[in-house]
Amino acid sequence: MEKTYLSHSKKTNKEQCVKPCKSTEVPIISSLNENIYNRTKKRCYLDMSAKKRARKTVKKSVSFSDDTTLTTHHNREKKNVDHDRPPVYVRKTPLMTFPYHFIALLYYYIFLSSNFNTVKLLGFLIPTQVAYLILQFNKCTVYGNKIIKINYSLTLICLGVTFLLSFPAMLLTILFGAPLMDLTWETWLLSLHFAFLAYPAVYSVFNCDFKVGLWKKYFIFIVVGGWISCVVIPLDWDRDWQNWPIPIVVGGYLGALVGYTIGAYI
Amino acid sequence: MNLKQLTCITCAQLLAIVLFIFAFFPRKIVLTGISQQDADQDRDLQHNRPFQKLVFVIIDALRSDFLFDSHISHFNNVHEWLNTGEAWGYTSFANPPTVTLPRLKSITTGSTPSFIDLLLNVAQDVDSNDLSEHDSWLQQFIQHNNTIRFMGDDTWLKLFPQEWFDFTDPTHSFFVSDFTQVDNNVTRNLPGKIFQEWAQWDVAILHYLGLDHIGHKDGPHSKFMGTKHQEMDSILKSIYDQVLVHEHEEDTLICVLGDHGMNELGNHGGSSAGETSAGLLFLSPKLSKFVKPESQINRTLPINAAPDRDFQYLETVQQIDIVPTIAALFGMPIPMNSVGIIIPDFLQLLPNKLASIKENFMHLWKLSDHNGDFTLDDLTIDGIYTKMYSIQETLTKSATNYNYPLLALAFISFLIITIIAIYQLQRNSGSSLWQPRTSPLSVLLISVILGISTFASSFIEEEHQLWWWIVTAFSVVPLFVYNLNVFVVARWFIMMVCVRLIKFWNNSGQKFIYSNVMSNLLNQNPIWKWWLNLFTLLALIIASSRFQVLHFIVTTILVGLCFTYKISWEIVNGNQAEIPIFMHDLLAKIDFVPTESNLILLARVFFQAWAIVVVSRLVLTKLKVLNKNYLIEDIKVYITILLILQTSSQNIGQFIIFQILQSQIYYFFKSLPAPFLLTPSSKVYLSNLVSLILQNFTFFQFGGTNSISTIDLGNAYHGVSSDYNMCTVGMLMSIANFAPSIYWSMLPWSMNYDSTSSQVKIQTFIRSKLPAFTYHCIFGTCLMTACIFLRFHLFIWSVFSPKLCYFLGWNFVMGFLNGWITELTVLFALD
Repeated sequence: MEKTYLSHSKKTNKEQCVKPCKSTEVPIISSLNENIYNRTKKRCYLDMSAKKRARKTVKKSVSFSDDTTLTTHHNREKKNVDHDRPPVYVRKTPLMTFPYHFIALLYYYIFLSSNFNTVKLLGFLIPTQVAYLILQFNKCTVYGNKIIKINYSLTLICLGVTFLLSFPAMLLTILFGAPLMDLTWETWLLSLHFAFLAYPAVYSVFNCDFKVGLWKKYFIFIVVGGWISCVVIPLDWDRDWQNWPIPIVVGGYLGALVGYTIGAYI
Repeated sequence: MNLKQLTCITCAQLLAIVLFIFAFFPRKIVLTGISQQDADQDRDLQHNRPFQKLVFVIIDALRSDFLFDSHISHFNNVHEWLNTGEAWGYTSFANPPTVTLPRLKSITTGSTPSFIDLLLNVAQDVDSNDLSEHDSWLQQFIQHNNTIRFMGDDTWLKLFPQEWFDFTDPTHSFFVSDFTQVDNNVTRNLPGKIFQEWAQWDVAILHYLGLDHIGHKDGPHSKFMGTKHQEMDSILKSIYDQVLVHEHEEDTLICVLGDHGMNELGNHGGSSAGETSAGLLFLSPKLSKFVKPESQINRTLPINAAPDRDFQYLETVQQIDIVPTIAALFGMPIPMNSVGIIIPDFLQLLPNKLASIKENFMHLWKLSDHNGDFTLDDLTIDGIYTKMYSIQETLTKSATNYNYPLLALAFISFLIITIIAIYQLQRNSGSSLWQPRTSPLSVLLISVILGISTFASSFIEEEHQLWWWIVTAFSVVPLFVYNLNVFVVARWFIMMVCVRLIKFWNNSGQKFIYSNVMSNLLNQNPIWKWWLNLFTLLALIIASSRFQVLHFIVTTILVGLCFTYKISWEIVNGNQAEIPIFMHDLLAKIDFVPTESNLILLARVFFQAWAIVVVSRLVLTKLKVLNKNYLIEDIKVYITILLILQTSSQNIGQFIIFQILQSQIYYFFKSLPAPFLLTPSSKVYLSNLVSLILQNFTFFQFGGTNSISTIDLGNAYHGVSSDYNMCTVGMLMSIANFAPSIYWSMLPWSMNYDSTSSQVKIQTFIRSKLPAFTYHCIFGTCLMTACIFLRFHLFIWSVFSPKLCYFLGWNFVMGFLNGWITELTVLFALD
């Protein structure tokens, strides 16, 4: 892969020097570099924890691949980040990204709520997901090498978007086998759950110029969780929790739980 | 692997399955001979018999709540008689399988049926059904020179010789949609043959079918049910009035019963509470002189029962208890194979109750392989009853003796075949033995998932859910394989909509029954249904036309014949109003009068025309007169037309969905992006795997299940007159039930056989058989293991055994007949 190396310091943002590290044979046109840099400079910040160290180590090298990929070298915290990696990623801190509130919500749903109250669960899910995004998920999401502060207006916009997203989600749920003409309300509730389970990912999609490809794994985990949980529906145990859509809701939560925990590793 | 080896292993597999089924399904040892008493005792009993005449009324599928429950029952006279004590009512437990023929055997001989009887109910003209040599209460009446008159369902005449009856008027249960005529055919004989000639008969048997037909068509809560109850009730009233007229001359017993019940869909065959709980009623003015059964004292009927009462009303008795009860009430010995017990309430009517109960006990004692006498002197009547109930339980429940050595032989040979199949699947995948590839691995994965599912009875009942689950998993594969652009996503969406519509078409399984399914919607709007069917057939012509005049004419003729037949069949079955008017006009224009005989003729014309077209197409291609490029496409169209003829009208619309879905699948297979290009062997495997999945998926979405009760017999008699040939009906039945699967089994043909040399074709054929063969092997191994381990499971006869029969059907009809003969014929013509 053709790579150019560019080092810069935090203090002098506009100063640049081209520093070919290994691939000396690559000629660099500085104006082109300037362009690339300008396009991406908004994201070319160091992340918070790296800031102090960045001041000590004056030079930081950032690699450009054929697209706008930036990766920091010399940074021990991100040494396992390879050059193919897109600039936006989630830090591999499973304890930090672990959605603790899902455990509580599932416990409430399965053991505490009367008759598996899916509506109330949704009521609890939305604020806790917002809190999870602000307090946990966003703090682990690295844009370039910077963690961007939460954009509160965007969280609100995303709430609306997620709500709207429940309609295509409902269409997909029906395509994947939800009852077509019966139990529509339950199916919509299920889609709302699915949509809001994906809320942090939706926010991140908006926050990184719609790089859906980066975040689709989170959506996939939720869908796969729901898909696997369908297995219990045909069993003839005649339990309350086999009613539509309870197993799928639980499956979606479990899928999302796994997804948010290990999503960074995939 | 060459063709010879594959043939051998396929035949060996079929043989192993047949052997397993043969060993697994127990055949009951039936005692021959007729019970006899010594002459003096017999004369004595005959002289003192409590009743002289018997009217035996069977109302098919009369569930217990139809007689006793205030929510549903309209038998008002019956309720009155029950309250006055003239009638004694019971809920009778009908041993599964709850279909008419085995039930009739039980009701007359007193033995419990075996699973084999259920299969024989479908194959009705097998000799083993002849009860003329066996002992039954009918036999006993004949032995005692009583005259029997019979009218109703002709199943009786398959069981008993015509000579036994002094008068018969059998009715066919051929057209299930007929609610009234079948019953009027029985009732019309009542005034002349029963009431007027009262002195000339001793036993009258009436078998009414209408109620069962309503159940099959509309379910137990049908709007026709109330009037049918009232009709039956008034018939009983008219018979009872005659009994009252003749009360001073002799005593007559009227026995009213359902041979089985029905489930909430109106079907029967299984072992749910609704299906096994039939109503039973004894009616006679003499009964009011005795003490009512305990459950009837202090209770007024109809019973306003809670909905979860499991259909148990009043006292519950075994249905086979009727046999010794009737025998005792008419002073006859108990039939040889009867495991019934005299209903305790009737003991008070018997002249010598202790002798009767002892005879009953000794009978059971001998049947349970006990030799020698048993002293009953120190037991009270209650004590004897307790003892008899326990003997009866062991006799009915554990009356199965398995042939273990044969079972082991069949299972082990099947296991060996499975191992060979897996080995061959991997070896033919084009890579080395230990190098896994996606295509054989996915075959194995699906086989193992389905195989494991056989250990749970509910997964067998709901197998369609598993297939849908696999279909959804497979349908997302294109999203990961293709670079997504608008066209791919649009095609994917169309594919999903098609798949979802197929899923929406019918209910399958036992657990979830939605009223809003396409087939119901179409049946409620028959005009739309027929427009859709017409459109489907026209689309078939248009899609297959390629400006070749001969082909166009031939398909048009076949489609025309097919459509004419389908609408005429509907008219003959009494649904004239459902056919759009212009279609009536169409029939009038071609001067076709839909009558039953014309219908048979038309179907035969279609079959002959079809055979001529297909054979000549194949032969002419072989002789290189016709172009072989389009052979596969043309044969597919012809077969599809045949399948449509064999499909119920509400399902015909699915074929247009199939066409659309098929074109999407072809697209996804043809334009694979570079990193996912398939090797030829992988392509053969994958296309056949997709075909296998769709075969199973659509089989269930056509309304098929793993229960015997959903076998579609309505389309098995096209072009068949009354003196039918078993093979023809069997073949038509197989086509009718496997119609969608046959359609999808043709999916890989044009993908794999186009533009290959004849040597490669045979190799491709062998490869294309392997995925389905391996799947069936692994699945079969698991199913057989499940059957062996769960052989004492409650559902072994109602869930596992039918699945075993379906498994044989899949292997024989789909795997062998369809997979080999059809495909090899086409291949042969292609060379």
